[in-house]
Amino acid sequence: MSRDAVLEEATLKRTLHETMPTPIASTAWPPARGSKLSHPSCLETLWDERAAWVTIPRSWLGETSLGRVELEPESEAYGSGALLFADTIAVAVEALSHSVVGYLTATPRRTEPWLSRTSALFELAMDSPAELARDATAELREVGELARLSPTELGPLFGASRRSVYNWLAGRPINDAIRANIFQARDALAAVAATRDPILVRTWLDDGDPSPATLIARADWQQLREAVHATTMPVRALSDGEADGHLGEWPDEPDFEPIKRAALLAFADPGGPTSRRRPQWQPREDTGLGDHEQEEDE
Amino acid sequence: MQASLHDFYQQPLKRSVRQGDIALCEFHQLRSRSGEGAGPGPQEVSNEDVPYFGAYRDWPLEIDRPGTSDKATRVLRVWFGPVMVVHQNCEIEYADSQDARLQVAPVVSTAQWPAGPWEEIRRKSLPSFFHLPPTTEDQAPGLALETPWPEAAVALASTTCVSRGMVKPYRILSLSAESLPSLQESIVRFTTVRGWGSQAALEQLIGKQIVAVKQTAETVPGPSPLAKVVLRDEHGDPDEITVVWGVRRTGRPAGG
Repeated sequence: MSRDAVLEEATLKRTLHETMPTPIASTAWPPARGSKLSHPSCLETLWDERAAWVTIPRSWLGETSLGRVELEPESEAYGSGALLFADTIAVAVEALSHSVVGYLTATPRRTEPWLSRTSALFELAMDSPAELARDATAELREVGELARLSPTELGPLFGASRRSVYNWLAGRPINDAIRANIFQARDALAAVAATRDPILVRTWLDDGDPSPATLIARADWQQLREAVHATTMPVRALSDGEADGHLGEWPDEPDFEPIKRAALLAFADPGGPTSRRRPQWQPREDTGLGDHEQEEDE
Repeated sequence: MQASLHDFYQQPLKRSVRQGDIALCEFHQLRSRSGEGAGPGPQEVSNEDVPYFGAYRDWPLEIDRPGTSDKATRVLRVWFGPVMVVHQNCEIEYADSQDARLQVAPVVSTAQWPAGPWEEIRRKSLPSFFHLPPTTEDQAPGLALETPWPEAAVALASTTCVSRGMVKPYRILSLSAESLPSLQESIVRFTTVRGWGSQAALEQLIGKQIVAVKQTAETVPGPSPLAKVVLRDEHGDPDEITVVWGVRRTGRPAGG
C-alpha cells in the first residue's frame, strides 16, 4: 500500500470514529423487505445513521440497467479509502434516484476491528426485477443437484433443519434472508459446476478451512466469491524455469494404494442419475463381427 | 479368437510399459470454450454414443497465438481413472530417451455408463470400443486387485497423449499376450477398416464419383482381399468404402 493510501485510510478511520457515534438500531436498519425507499429518505437514513457502510456490487448494478454508473473493481472491496466511502454512498443515491428498483435488503457482513464504534458493515442488496422473479424453491433444488446434496445436507448450509428444507422444497414460503442466501449459494455453485462434475463440486464445497460450505453457512459472500474465482480462474502458464520443477508427476509421491482403491471403487460403482437408452437407437456402423461369431457358434 | 477369461489379463510387467497396460491416471481433452458439444463430460449428455468417464474438471487456459496479442481461451477437461496404453510396442521400446509421449485411451465401465451400448460392445460390433470382460472375486487376488475388475470398454475415440511418467508407476493390470492381438485388431478396425455401414449410409454414396479403387491387405473369410473404393462428391469431399470384391491376381475381374 502506498504512503498516500495509508494516510488516506488513517484519515478515514479517524473520520469514521468521529462521525459514527452509535451502533445501528435494529429497528431502523435494515428496512423491511419490500418497503420502498425513496431517494431522500434513503439518503437521510444513510447519513443519519452513519453506521452503515454501503457498497453495491458491480454485478448488481449491471442487472439494474444503471449502465452509466461505473465502479472500479476495487470499489467492491471494503476499507480502501475515504473516496470509496463517498463514492459508494453516491452510487447508492444514484441508483435509488433512478427508481429502477427500490426494494432493498441489508445483510450484516462483518465487524471491522478498527471500526470499533460501529456495529457492523452492511451490504446493500438491490433486488433487480430479475432477482424478484427468481424462484427460491427451484434454486434450492438446483443447489442440491449441482453438488449432489440431500435435503439433510442442504439444511446446515442455510441454518435450517431437514424438515424445513423438505418444507421449502414442497413449496412452503421461504423467508427473505434465506431466499437471499439460496440465490447467492446457487450463483456460486453454478459457476463452479460449469467447470466440473457434480461429484467434484461437492468435493470443492467441503474443501479448505473455512470451506465454501462454511462460508455459505456464514453468509460470507465476499469470501465465497473469492473462493469461486480462485477455483475457476484461468490456469497460469509456467515460465521456463518453473516448468523444470513441475515435470515430475506427483512429486511428493503420495501413497498410491488409497488412490487406487478409491478410483476403482468409483469406477465400479454406479454414479448418479444417467440417461436411459433410447429405444430407437441403432449403431451407425457395425463391424459384422458379432454376427460372424454367432454364426460360428451356431 | 478372444482368449478365455482366465488369461485375458495379467499383472503389468514391472520393467516396462507395454501396449494393453491399464493404469490409473489423469487423461484429458483440450476443448474450445464454447460453441461445441458438451460431451464427453457431464453425465446428462452421455448416451449410447457419448460415454461417461466419471468425475471431470475443466481448467480454463489462456493460449498465446502467433501474430496477435489476443489470447485464445481454451478449456482443458481432465478426468482421473483407468486408461489403457494403446501406443504401439515398438514405438514405446525404440523411442528416444527424451520422448515422454504415450498414447492412452480411457476405459469406461458398465457401472458408470449404464446407457452404453454394452450388448454391441460385447459382440465387438462397434468399431470405437474394445471390450474388457470382468474378473471374478476369485481371479482378483491373482491379479493383485483388492476387488474384481468390472466389465468395461476402452473408448478408442478418446485416445489422448500423456506423459509416460504418469502411467508407468500407476499401472494396475495388463492384457495378456494372448489377448493383446484382439486390442490391436480393434485399433486397426477403429482407424481404418471400420465396419459395415447401414443401408442409409450406403444410400448416401449415391451420386458420388468413384475416383480410385485400391486393393488392401485385409481379407474376409475366403481368399479375396478387400478393396478400398475412393469416392468424391460434387463438392470435392472425399470418402471411402471398403468393399468385398474379389480381384484376381491376373487382373481380370472376378466372375467377369
